[in-house]
Amino acid sequence: MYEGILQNLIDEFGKLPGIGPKSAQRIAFYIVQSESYNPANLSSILATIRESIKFCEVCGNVADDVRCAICRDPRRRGDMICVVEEAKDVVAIERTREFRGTYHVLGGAISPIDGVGPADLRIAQLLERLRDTSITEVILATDPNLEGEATATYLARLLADFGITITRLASGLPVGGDLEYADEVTLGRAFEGRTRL
Amino acid sequence: MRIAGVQLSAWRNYDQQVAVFDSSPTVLIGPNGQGKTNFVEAITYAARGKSHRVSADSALVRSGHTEAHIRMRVAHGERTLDVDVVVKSSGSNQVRLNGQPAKKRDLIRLLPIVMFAPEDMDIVRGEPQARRDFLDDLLALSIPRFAGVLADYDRVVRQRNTLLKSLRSAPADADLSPLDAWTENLIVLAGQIMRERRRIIDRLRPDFARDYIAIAGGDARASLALVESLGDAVDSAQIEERLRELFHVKHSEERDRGTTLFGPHRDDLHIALNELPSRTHSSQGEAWSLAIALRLAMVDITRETSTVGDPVVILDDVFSELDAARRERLAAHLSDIEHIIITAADSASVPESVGGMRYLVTGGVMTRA
Ligand SMILES: [Zn+2]
Repeated sequence: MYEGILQNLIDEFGKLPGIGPKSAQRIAFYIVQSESYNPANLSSILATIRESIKFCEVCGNVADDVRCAICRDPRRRGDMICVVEEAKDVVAIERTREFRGTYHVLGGAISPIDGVGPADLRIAQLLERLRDTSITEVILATDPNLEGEATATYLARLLADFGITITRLASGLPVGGDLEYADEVTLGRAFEGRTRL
Repeated sequence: MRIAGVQLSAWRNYDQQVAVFDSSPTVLIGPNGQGKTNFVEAITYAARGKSHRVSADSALVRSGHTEAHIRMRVAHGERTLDVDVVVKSSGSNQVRLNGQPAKKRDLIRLLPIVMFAPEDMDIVRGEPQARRDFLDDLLALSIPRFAGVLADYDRVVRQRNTLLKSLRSAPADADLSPLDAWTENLIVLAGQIMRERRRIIDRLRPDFARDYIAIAGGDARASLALVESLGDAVDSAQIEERLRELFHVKHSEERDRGTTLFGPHRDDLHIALNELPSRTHSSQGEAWSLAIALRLAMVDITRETSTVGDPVVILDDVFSELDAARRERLAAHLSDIEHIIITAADSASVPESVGGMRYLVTGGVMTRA
């Protein structure tokens, strides 16, 4: 344990995901001691980040306006929606350049153990969007793990009567993993070979 | 495969221990409670990423320490593999293979081990869970990807049971479609497991019957049959269909009880000797011979399927449970296994014919005898 404010800084870093006690200590000392590093930049971003970041009212992706850059882009196809768990999955799929439609971010996956059911996800908003009859295909791109599978199965059944083509990313993605960790080539292939449910 | 060396720090009652094994068998002798089983537990932990004795890792770390380390080198011919495990008293463990982070489910394929232990008596006489664990170990040893399938199934059952419990207090017309999604995923995994269990038991049966006679002598017929929760005589191609039917018909009972009533987690293995159920009708000696025959059959099957040679065979305090004739037969049966590790409280219980290098274990310290 260190004195007062230094320990407070270490504790704050320790609360962040992926940062253990040793890393928290290392980062704190770096900030305090490094001559080349200016902590003012980080502190000014952190001070306003929550107010500045918005979530797209259409798709739930991170946005700097009411709508995200993808939903605002007139070149994106309006007939396809790709459903993902998190905003970071949008970034992963964008990297593949395979998909030119729009997204829908659920905000998680169905997991009874974690107390997450359909009502906790942005499913009502998805159904609302599907009233637009120009949408012809929904691609279920939830993570290739058990919770992602269950969410995809649930959605596929829910959407079965909408008269829309429902597809699921092809297998071949690393099982038990997160979409965001799949490399671009694998993810691109999974997109190309998506199967109709 | 053989274990070339093991290094422990702050593991159970070991402070620092280095053991190098250059021949087989390796015989560990010492009074009970001094660290023999703790040592072989470290080997199985490194090979599975979990303990076969306790579920909480905190019990594995020596008191006064926050983490224990196990380093183990295994060799198959000219190739070696280094396993490094950090066990934390709180938090999850870390496993590395040749320095690279590894998933627990990859270990079993690279580090096949078959352990015989006094608890094996539970396979014959205990609850169904012990027999399911035996079958699942056997599947994971013989089909590399199955460690993952079994872990997935386990998690799907837990998810589904949690959902069923939460539906218990829900109104009768509650939305069951999330349950249907989990049911569908459960059926896919259950079908794979049930089919492979049927296949592996068919394969186990002749080895088991032969190994029983090899250990017990005589000509008694040891037999195995799977008892499935979905009822008798369901064709392999119809497992999923039958499960779907049962879940449909019984879902209100499942909701009332808050648990998944059908699937491989509710199945059992029926073990019999001359057609009599061994769970209730075997003598102590017969039950031991049956348990050992099951493990020997596991060794046989693993030898056929392994890509890294023989499994390492561990006999933890097993000879003392057998009479002299059975001891000799067991030792003879395993004599051509590349590496056997034997523990015993009394060196007299280990047949002379076993030979090998002997070590003394006292107070968490192992020394060459
Ligand atoms: Zn958007």
